[in-house]
Amino acid sequence: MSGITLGTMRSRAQVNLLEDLSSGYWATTEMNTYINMAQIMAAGDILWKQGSTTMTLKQNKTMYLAPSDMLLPLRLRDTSNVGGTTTNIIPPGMIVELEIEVPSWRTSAAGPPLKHIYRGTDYLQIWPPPSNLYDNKTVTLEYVPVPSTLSADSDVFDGPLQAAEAVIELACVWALGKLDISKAFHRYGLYVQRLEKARADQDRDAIFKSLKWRPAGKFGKMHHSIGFRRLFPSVV
Amino acid sequence: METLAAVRDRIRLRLQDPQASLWTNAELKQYINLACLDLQQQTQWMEDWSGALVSSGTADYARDTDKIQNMRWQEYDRERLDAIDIYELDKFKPDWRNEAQNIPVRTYRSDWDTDTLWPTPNTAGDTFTFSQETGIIVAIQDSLNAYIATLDAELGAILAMRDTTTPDDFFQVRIQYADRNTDSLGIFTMIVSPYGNLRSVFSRLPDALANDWDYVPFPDWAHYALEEYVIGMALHKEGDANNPVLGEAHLRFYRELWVPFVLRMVNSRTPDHPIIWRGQDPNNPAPANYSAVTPSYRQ
Repeated sequence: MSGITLGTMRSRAQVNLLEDLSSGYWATTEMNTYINMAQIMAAGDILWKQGSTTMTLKQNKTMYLAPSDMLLPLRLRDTSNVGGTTTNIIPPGMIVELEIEVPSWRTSAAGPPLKHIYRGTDYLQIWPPPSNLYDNKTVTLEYVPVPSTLSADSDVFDGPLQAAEAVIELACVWALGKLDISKAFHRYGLYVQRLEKARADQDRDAIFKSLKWRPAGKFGKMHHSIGFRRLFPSVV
Repeated sequence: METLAAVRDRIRLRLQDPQASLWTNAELKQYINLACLDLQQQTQWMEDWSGALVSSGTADYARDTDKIQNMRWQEYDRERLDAIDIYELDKFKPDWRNEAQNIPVRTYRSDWDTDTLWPTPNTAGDTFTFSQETGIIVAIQDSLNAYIATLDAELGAILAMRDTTTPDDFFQVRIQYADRNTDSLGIFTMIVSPYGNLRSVFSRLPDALANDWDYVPFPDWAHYALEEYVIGMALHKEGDANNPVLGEAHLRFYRELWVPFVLRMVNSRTPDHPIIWRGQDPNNPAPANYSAVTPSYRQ
């Protein structure tokens, strides 16, 4: 935890904006909204936090609700202890993969879960349907959660300092949008720089190695070469 | 899940119009509905499915065009139906119209709101009827009069239905809330028997939000994207509130910051390892017990 509070983040942003702290152009609630918006986007781009939830399997039931606070998934682990193993990864899949590799996947007999597929905004599909051995057994979904909303000035930002710096820059982008759109988009470049540095620090840290290896997602490909031009091509 | 009122109130704060002096609730609702549609069109994130009972001798089935944005696939009797169009049928099987009724193997869109099976099915799909199952009544209580109502013969929430003669998931069950456009309460269970019937899986158009308590689609964090769009549209309104420069700024935030971010999160839910076309790649031969499969749409 960085120890930086919402109040501190807002005043830091106001300094960047040359804002009068007593009677400013941006209302306090407005700046708080920008900070909360920014921390969501930064959380998805930097991946500093990991959450998890257990899901109870039911025999022959394939569709399960994904957690509502999931920003992006990291991995699904078979923690059912069926057969005495508790750490198997259930790899992610795609429908198109199943169509090609297992054309009869729709009528597959129940068995041990081999793949999980995210369906729409809310659902996660387990394939094949869990067999009776997995009835009422659990799997664990690890994911990057949406950061908690900061509402009181004393609320502490739940993330590293480097991420907080990126969040402050991004909040300034939205604030500046109210005044001058071109300034705002130039400010976005500063956010991307902060973002790259925060990710670089995190990737060098052995503690976070587990976040680098994630079976789900094109995220790695998209973010290893994250950059201003890539994220925001229309500016350059 | 955030309601329409919650999202609208936050937008009002950002528009500095808490008293609704510049934008009415109806206007903002219209923009929010438009924002939901736009985000879905750009991300195709929401997915849904529906089923139609198949009748013997009937090839045409109405497409729910208010819900279906793009069809992802359709199944007949639990097997995927390859989509095709009339031109392809004419080209590869000129006498296709004379085909006798049989098990459908293809589907095509014969009109903007009609899906047609080919050949015309020769059997009817499974149907089922409910007996009056007693549901679970948690509590219905009037806080003033403190009486508890009892209900008779209510249909309960059905969580699973299974064919006892097979191990298959007989009915794919999902629970959906009552129509958001009405004041009806409760939940409906949508049950589609896949046996002998048509099942459609599609990216879904959002329901139009009507009441303050309607839930805004998409996860809550994505509602910030909707907000940018709504503010942008609101500032384009003619009259006292008109500020197209600022409005365009918010629309650019939506288009260039939020939509790519949402897409990054959506894309992260699919794996990035390459699809191996086993049996076709000489460096990756199929296992001995694995039959090489070529997707039928490439044949």
